[in-house]
Amino acid sequence: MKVEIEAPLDALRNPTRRLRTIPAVVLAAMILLGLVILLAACADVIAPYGFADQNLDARLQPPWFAGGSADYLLGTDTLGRDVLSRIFYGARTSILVALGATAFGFLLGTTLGFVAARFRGWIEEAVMMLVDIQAALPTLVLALAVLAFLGNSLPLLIILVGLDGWERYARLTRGMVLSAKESGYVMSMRIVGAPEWRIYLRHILPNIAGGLIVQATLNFPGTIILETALSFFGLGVQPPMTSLGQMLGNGRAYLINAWWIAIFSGVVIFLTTLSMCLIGDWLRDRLDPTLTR
Amino acid sequence: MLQSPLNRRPGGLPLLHAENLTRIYPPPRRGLLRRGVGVHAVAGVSFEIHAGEALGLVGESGSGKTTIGRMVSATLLPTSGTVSLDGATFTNPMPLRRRARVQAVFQDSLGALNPRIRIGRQIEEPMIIHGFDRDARAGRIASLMADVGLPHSILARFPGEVSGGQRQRVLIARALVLKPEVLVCDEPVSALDVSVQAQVINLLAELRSQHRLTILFISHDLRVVRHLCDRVAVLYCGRIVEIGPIASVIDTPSHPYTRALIDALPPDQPGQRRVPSGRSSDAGTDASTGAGCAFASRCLQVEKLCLESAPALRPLRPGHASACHFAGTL
Amino acid sequence: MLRFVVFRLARALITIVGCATLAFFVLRMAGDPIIALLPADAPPEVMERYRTLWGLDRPLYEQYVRYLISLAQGDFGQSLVDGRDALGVVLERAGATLILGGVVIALALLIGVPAGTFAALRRGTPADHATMTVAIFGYAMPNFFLGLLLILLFSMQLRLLPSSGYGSAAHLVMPALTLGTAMAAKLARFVRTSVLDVLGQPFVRAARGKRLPELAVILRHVFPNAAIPVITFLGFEIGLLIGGAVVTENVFGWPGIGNLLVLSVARRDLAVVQTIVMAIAATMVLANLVVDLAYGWIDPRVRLAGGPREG
Repeated sequence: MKVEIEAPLDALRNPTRRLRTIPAVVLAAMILLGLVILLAACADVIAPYGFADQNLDARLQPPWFAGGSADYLLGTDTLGRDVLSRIFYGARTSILVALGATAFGFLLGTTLGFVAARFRGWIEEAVMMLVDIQAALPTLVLALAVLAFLGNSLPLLIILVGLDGWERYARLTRGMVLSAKESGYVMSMRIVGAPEWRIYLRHILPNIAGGLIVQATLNFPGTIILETALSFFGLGVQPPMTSLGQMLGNGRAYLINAWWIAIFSGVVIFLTTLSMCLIGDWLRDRLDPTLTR
Repeated sequence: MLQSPLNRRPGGLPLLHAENLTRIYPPPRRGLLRRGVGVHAVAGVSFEIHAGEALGLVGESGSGKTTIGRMVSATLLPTSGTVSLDGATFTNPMPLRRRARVQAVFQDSLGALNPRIRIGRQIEEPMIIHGFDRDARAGRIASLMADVGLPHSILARFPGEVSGGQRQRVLIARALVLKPEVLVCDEPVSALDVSVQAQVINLLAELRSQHRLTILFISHDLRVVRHLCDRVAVLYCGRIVEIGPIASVIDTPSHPYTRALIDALPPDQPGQRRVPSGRSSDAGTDASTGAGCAFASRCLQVEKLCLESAPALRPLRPGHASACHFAGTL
Repeated sequence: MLRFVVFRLARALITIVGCATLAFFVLRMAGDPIIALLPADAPPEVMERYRTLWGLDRPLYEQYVRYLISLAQGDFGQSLVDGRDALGVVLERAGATLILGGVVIALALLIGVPAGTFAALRRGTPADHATMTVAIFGYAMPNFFLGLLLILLFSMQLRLLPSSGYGSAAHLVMPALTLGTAMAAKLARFVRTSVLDVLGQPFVRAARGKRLPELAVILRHVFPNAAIPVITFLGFEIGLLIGGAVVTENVFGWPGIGNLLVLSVARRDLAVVQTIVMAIAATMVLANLVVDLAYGWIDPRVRLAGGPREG
């Protein structure tokens, strides 16, 4: 273990240099994640079958290495749909929902965090009360209840999944903006008469963006898991569309005689979240050496 | 009404006038409603600066120097009292045009620059806010970079990538970009190496005559102030204890605290020694404490009177005033 | 200290009322429970009668005020399915969830704390890297997938453990592992960071300089200080634990509150769902309250400053 005394100073001086050396594990995670995203994005082109194409003559075919045919590399499900193709399409849905949800939660949380830190007083109290309430209601529970009673729709699903974590962005943003408000560079902008919007958007936001991006990366695996958990209960993405969680949930009933339906989608979920965790950890350690040592 | 007409110099109205400035920092909140007592960082400070003049403000840490600097540069509102420029009182918010007339340079040059924005952009930004057109901005930056002695290449760098002395020059350039009349300098050199300090002080002196600046120079270091300022105000516990022309104050200090400050200066000639004239003790930082002279607990010449009543700032000679009961007899 | 406790209690109460409000309006906006419950071809008069019976014909704000009043009186409404007291229905299931949660927290502490401390003390060695690699795998693993893998292995291949049910220690093994793995992994990572933080403090170096035995340094100086962030962390984790319990209980047919929630959601049993949401919110708020108070008790600085947020 080498003792890094020079590293933080060096990192301060040159923001690009510290990103240059990437550990092998993180590089592998990036490649893996890139591959999943690429395959998901190209689902229309590379999937051998459509996600809803049924072949009732080829139901519950095992994967090729377990005695199945090369027609269906990862086997087929109860309706004779190709598991491999459905994984491509399912990954696409899951990633899109998770991205949309992250964007929603990120925007909501940072905006409210900014508002709380800017206006203080009762507005801040109100925002922090909402944060407390959100923190007291596990999103999965809330989402289950709402989806069951409101019925499913993709936008609603994205909003609900996005609610998970907005309070963390809000807390983080509020704290960072409060300390940035007292910083010398903000005071310098006040002396020259900079308008508020310029101070907050052009000066404070770029300075806290790093911390927010790290938080978003760290949140992303949880967001994917939440979407897949809801789909697992049949309350997320609805057929004929498919998602990784939905495949896992459907496959659960056929674990004994057709394990491949559930297991392959589970593996893809796991690899995606694992990659995101590795990348997020690394980003946090690199960009924010104060958070962990 | 003027508190002390003594520090006024002949020659018409002052450019900058601080009158009875008081700043109380609110206490931390305890519980929902209850609040403790606030801290008086600055209590009833008045002074004037005439156009082209440089006033030094010296005092130890906690004496309220920075608070005064922030009130004069209109980044902090006084709890009571006013700052006025050409007779017009500072308000919040302040009209852009008047805002441009008072600019400031602070000690922490790294903190005063946004770490994620290139230096050139940060020097340019005040002019964008004040509506200068592109050509005017480029011309102004070029001439200022020459004035403060920085190479053009530095404009493309980030604040973390240049030295402390260069950063301080960047801050000076940025403060001058709006063509201010008054420049507030809060400890602009104390974070720098001694050799660099001298360069920056000389630069400020040059710029002062070149740009016809009126300066409020805040420092804990009397030597630096002596080098740059015409007059000096000595601050102790949020109050001015002595004010006057720099030579008069240094040669004939009339407040024990000023004496102590001067005695603490390193001797001009090696081998020369001075007798310490102050007691060491913790300095108070709260100007509101009870009766008596705030300096009494550290004063070597303390008398009974000093513990009973607080001395007011009284004139000794034209332009030189002191807040000591025994100012004339020291 | 008393003012601190009162302040925290007041905030906890406000949060719980906020949760009740949110649950009420969100679920009421969701649709007419009558239509969901009665057969579609029920005559309008019957629908009207039920509406009046359950107070659903009143304006929304009046229903809300009534709801709050009855909550304050301990009346959580009746299950729309069988007319039983909703609170009773929920409490009946609470025991199973508490057993599972308790075992999981114990498991996480027993694995996470030693593993994290070990990794911190062996910082940078292969032992540290190995521990942290295992931890990140455990932490990235979605619990529902882990549950299925466990069933596949232990129930279907090895035929060692029952795949679902309740009643014996064997039934508890897989749910506890499913839920506990991620928590233990997170805890290990967190403990490692906290211990490393404390190890860098001057007072630890001073204690070592005095040639105190390493074990004494760790037990007397490191643990008490590292415990503060870890306790906070546990408070936050309760929420994830509850969310995870909903999934786990359903995978393994564990008859707890999570199982009841999914069942009631499917039956559109409004009162029971509302009661569960309230029960979970109350648990979370209570857990955080306990954490806050424990925090103030362990760390006097917090108590004096009037709470972490104002500090």
